[in-house]
Amino acid sequence: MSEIKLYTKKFDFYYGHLKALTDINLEIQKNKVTALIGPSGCGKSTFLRSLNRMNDIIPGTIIEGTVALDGKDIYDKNIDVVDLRRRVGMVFQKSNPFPKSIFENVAYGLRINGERNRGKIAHRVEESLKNAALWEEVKDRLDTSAMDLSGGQQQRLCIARALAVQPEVILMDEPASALDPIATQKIEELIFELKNEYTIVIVTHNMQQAARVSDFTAFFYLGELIEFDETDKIFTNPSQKKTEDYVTGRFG
Amino acid sequence: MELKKNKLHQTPVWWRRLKEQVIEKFFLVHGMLAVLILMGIFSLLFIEGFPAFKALGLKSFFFSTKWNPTSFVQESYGILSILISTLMVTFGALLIAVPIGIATAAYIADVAPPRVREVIKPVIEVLAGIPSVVVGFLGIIVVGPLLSRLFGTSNGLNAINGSILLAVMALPTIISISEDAILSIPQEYKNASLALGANKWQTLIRVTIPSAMSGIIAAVMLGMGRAIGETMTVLMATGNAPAMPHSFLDSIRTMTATIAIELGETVQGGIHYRSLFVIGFILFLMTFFVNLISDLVLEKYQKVNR
Amino acid sequence: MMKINWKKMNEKLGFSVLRLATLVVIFILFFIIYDIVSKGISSVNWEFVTDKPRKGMTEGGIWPAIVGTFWVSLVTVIFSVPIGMFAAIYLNEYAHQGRIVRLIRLAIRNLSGVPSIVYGLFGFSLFVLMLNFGLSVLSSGLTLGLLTLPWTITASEEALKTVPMSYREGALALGATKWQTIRSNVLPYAVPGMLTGTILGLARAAGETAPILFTGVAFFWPILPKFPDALFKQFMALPYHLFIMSTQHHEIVKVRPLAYGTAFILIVLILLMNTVAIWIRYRFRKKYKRI
Repeated sequence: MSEIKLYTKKFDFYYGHLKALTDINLEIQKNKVTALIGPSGCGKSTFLRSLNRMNDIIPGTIIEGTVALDGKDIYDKNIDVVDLRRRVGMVFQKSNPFPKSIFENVAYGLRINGERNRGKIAHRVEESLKNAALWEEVKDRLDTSAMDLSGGQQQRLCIARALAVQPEVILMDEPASALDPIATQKIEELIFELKNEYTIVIVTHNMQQAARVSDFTAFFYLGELIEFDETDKIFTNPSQKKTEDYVTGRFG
Repeated sequence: MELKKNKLHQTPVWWRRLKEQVIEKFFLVHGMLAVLILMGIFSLLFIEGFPAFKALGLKSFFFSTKWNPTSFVQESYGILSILISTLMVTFGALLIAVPIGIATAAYIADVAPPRVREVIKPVIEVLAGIPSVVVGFLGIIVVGPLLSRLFGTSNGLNAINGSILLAVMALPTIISISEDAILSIPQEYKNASLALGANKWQTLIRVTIPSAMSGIIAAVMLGMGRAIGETMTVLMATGNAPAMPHSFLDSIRTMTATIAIELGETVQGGIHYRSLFVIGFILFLMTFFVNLISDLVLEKYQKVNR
Repeated sequence: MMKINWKKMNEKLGFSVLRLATLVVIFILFFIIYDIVSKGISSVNWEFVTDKPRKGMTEGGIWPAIVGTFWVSLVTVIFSVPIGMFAAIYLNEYAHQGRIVRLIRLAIRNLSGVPSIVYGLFGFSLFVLMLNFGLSVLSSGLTLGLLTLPWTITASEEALKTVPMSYREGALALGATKWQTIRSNVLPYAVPGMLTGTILGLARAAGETAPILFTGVAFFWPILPKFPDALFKQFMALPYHLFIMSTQHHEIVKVRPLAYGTAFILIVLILLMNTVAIWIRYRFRKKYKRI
């Protein structure tokens, strides 16, 4: 049953001369939620952004080792980074809707992929907004600016925008860190729904959140992967002392 | 790579990549144009001017004060007096503009409340936008008579007039760049000084301005570059006598004014024509080095502040 | 106690000196504007704006100079804005730190320091003679285009910098190519800023005299040809007209009111452009603060 969607092997990452990640070996299973936890600056966000090569846009970054999607190295010369990002979507920490209408935000990914059929676009927009549990709230004002939505709605809009291009993996970088508890709960419920169709990797600061939403948890510390296991095990019976210290709140 | 379920991309990857490559190169070419134009200016001035240089020799250009290309008796192309005139009005302009400019920059950056700053900044910008010909016009009509009354000279078209006008032209440059330099000094520096019991004035004079000094020097250099290259104001307000100046009350003629006055009267390709390109070339080199120095100073200062 | 008071007085005095310097700068600007406006406005009437100069330029108006300045500025914009924008897009969106970028930036900074009269020489040699455009609107417009290029690049780059990084990241993460990202998520939001820079550059170009001196401006050229013939003809221009009316005319004192009128129109034109530009920027900033 368990199928590996993404894995990294001996993965190192540098910002110029600064080594940010060392020897990361991680297997991410299909249709599961994998949480990346650890204190700030531990490299978990850097790692997440390596999975769809968003770090490419930062000058001076160097990688070593392998990151593979469906068994193919995504840093291989023959891989098209645009294709990769269509398959591996991303939701950012700070919700970043474009200053366009709600409809155009969700349709963006379709349009840049050359979809011209209006009916198809409208259909996909509706479907994506429904999947992101936002449809009921915005269906009467699709033409209004996305900037007027609340923080939580904006973040769900960004999720809908990512869903519209039908990725296989969704990366979420602390998607609820700037939201209030109710909005956070909605996002968490949404993640739970989405894993039926998508493979999800989520970076979070919030350990309860990791415990609630994820199937697997990876604990990062100072650029190294300390422990990776089923979430239950990480939170109840970790094998590493550092992990235990962190999840019990002794530091971080 | 096998792609499932994602039905979206119809365009083949190679085509998309090629397109992106071509687009990037397109923009790169436009960026490179700046380099090309700079090199073009350099080479064209050199090519046009070189024959005159060759025919007349270094010595008669730089060590003769006599500029009289249209003389019937003996044409002479000594640029020494116009070179010195240029440096003289520039120096005079800086004498006026540097203290006022730095003081204004310090006021805007360190003293003025934000709302006052919001008003002054557009003023500086608009001042930078006043055409030099308008400033020159007022030099003739307002500054000139004022100077002639003040110093009892027959007219006020002289080096001081030019310096005053050039100061006006250089002020916006000096102010805005000095202001940036002063603003970039981290608050911690100032706090350290304030914590030691210095008041705001002492902090400004002893800490902030010295720390911003390289930026201010760069600002002065750029202001100097503007003054050296300014044409219309000096053309209109300095009287344009092509002789060696002895005082700031003398009528003078700068390098820029010489080109402006004489190019239209020369025979194209003749020695006189080419000698004006030599002057242009020298002007180009002067401003180039002034800019380069300010660049180096700024670069050093950015490194120090990092 | 005595010492502290002394310190305090020192501070007060120092700040007053700074304030005085600032007031001097403000005074200079307001004096220029006040003098030109107060003495120029009486010369300005309908005839002055719409008529040709007459009777050896001792009477009549400045219409040909207004038209000439317009044509030249148009050529300047058409030449310099696209190139400046494209170069800025390269520098801000594509280029990484490297030798080529440093070279381009060095060139831009140095170009902005090249004296305008040197641009005039260059334009004369390149456009008038080598490319055989002759003394014309085209030669002058292109010369001014070169002069304004560094400003256009810098202003466009500033405008691009104000577009939040997250707009770019969001698009890239959806699988947009670099160019798609720039076209849909960067340029639309940078345009108002670019417009500001363009107008400011244009205002400065419209007031420049030295670069057009040998490239096409005429002492007296009252003919108003239609486009595109105008491109290859000589022209009158406001700043040059002011220059000859105040220094070259045979009856300088008599035509002084006309010179003031010309200066008035020139200043008003430039202030208007500056105001529009600053207003656009102000609105643009406000809009972005909301986001």
